[in-house]
Amino acid sequence: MSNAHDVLRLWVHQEEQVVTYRKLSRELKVHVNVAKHAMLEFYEANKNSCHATFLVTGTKRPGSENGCGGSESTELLMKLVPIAELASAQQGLDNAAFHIYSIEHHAPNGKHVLAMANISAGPIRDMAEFSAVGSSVTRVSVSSVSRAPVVQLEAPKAAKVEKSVSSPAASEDISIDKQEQVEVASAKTPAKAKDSKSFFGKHVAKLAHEDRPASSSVAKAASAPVKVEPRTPVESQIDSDVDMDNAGDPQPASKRRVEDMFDDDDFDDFVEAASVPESRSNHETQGTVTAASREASDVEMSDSESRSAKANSQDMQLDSQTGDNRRVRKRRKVSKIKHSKNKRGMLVSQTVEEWESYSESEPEPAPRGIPAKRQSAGDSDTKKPLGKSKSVAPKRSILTFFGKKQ
Amino acid sequence: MLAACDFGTSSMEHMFERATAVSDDPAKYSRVFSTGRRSYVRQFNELYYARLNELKPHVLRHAEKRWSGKGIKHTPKALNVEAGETTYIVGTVFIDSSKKPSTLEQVEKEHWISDPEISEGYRNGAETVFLEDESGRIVLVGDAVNKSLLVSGIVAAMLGKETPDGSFEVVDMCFAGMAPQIALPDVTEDKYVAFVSGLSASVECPVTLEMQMLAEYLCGTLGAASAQQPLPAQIVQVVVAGNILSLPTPPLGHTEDARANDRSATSALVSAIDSYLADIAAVVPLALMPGAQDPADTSLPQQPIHRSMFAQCKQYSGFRSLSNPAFLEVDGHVLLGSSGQNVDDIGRYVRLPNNGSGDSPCELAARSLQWRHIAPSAPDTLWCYPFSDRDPFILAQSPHVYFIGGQDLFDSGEALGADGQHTTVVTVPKFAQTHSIVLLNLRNMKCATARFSATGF
Repeated sequence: MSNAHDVLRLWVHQEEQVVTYRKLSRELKVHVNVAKHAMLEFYEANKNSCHATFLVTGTKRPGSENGCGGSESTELLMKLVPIAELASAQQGLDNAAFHIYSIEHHAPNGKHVLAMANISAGPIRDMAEFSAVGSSVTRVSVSSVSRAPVVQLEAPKAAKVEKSVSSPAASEDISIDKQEQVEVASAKTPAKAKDSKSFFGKHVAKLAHEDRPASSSVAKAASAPVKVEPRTPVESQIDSDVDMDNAGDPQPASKRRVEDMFDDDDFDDFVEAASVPESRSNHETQGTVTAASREASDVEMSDSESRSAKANSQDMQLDSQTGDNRRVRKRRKVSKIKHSKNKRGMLVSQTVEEWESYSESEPEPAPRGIPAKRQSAGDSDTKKPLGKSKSVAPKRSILTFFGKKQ
Repeated sequence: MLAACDFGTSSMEHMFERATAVSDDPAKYSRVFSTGRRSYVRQFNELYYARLNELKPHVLRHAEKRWSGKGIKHTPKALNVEAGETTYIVGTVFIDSSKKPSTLEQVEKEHWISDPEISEGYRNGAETVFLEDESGRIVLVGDAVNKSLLVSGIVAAMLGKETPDGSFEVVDMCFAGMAPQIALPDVTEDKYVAFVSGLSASVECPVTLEMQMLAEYLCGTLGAASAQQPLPAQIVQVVVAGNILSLPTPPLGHTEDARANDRSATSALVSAIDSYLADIAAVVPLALMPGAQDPADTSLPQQPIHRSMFAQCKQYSGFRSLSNPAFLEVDGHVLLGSSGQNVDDIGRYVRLPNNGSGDSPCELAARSLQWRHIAPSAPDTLWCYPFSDRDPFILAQSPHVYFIGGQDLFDSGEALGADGQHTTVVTVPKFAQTHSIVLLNLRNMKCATARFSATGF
């Protein structure tokens, strides 16, 4: 009991706290009634230097005026009163009793002071063993179902996490923390996973909507016999393509993929924006260099374009047949000169900018619209051929501005 | 004086063992008020049709029992009544009143954001009472219509005769009567069910001192050792009947303004109330019902608040989230409860001035049991889901206890059936205003209240 008095002296006199019986019970780890008794003893010994609040309980007689009115029934009243009103509060009650509720340095100036003191005492459920009434319920383990797929997908790292999740003794907080660690760990390796597994090659930067770290583990867990839940449309497309390839019939999947690439203009635009800076600068340069004129007519140009397009598609098909899954088609903006006749019958040349699709394996197109003096300044032997010609690999040198290298 | 402080030194550290009760399987009554997969592409006529089809046989049976001995015949269709012949017809009552809220007018005005304005009473203006069945509707007139409590949507049999102007002058009426009831089980020891309603936790003050006292009382820490602490040990079930929260009204244009949509205060409030209720759920089975102010459906039946909102409460085996209305069983006693919207709307059909006889919420609730329908004004003036194949508010069995939350005062009464049914009707006052809870003793079906107050501060 001296320990209780020491604690109360410290809290009430020195720290001027409002000490409720629950707070003292929790601090001393004693039964609530023992704490009340200790507080009462302390108050009686220090009446002049502190203030006490009491709880008065009793039964209000039927028929007497009461606050909730209505029917005549027994009303059990529990009333918190300061020490000054203790005597008057017990009047009119049957079976009246009281006990000390709190001790404070001076009278609290509002109910909120006592409420805050109770909040600082902590939740009641944490001191259930000190209560006067037992519990008739049990605590059940709550597993977070929504996080389960994440745990399953991350197979190599999930071994430990799964154990903690399945353990009934593990608290939810611990399992959640571990899952968060797993997710954080997976967030550290998104780039590598995408580079190695990305369908569109290593030059594709991180997509704007692929910012969920857990999605990177999808690629790693492809070997695990678990169906991946797609997080983004693009990821789902990638995963479905991977699954289709793994199914052992690459040709139809590849062909469908090729067709999708031609159809998906938006994605192509994004891919084009995500390309490496060098290639982007080349494209911009080609787009800005306006051709003065084309030597061939529109018909010839269209023929050559169609021929080149057919060749491209044929090449694409050949490549796909060989099983190369890293086909990348890009789009570039090129300036073309279209010739037409106006109403007066005059030949009019008009420069238009168009998007054309090309493959990485294709050589860089000849920059159209190069001024004549540039051409003359360049190597005259190397004449720019009409239409497109296939080369083995695109050149990234600045000399590509001035012509193709044979 | 202080020596009278009761601790009972010898039993100072005694822990009373809490009584237990057998609860129903949560799946037993979960489908009664479940809306399932919702579809709002249907009209309410199907609901009225289902209601009439289900209640008409019961109404006819009571009408035949009451009037057939006097040689009075039943006219199957309301429009086939013959002039001058005393007969009785069965149909659904419909009250066309200028005081009733009009959905079209509210849409035109567009001055309400969430809930429409609720008028004080529906029957204090110009009105016409109809009785409608499959064939059509007929106007009801007479003193019996003017003096009786009639609510839109109740299925009743009207005894009278046709007047020269084509109306039906009513002299008597009868209803479906109370549904069958299972026998009340015998309870040898005192076991209490505590009803709480209207905690109305707000953002400014999530947990008040009175709420803390309530939790301490239910947990068994409050009260003198020998005098009061044995009683909480006999509480076997706590039911929170609606209006747990008092959420702030969203400002105008909140859907467009991201700053107005800041829900951090609300989430903190929910977390605080969850922690508070977890203190109670940790020691005694706790059942929660949503109310008009809670984040649940606006229309009845309100579906259970998702358990994820109460992350701490759901860790305890006795925690249940119920619908509104809801059935539950405690030690074989069938309890039916609502958060009060249905009875409040029935109360708006009471003609003013109120003579104080037979029109208290408790008596209105008892009257609804006689109608065998706890929300007859739905969907006319009480929003409800457009059920098509059934009317869930029709009682298939009469409960032993019917409690209504969200009321101004505590009251208790009884509803007696013709076949010996006996239902204790209890109105639970709003805790935020009265700081009171209701304790129902299952042994003798008597009610008591417990009030928590803090004065002098």
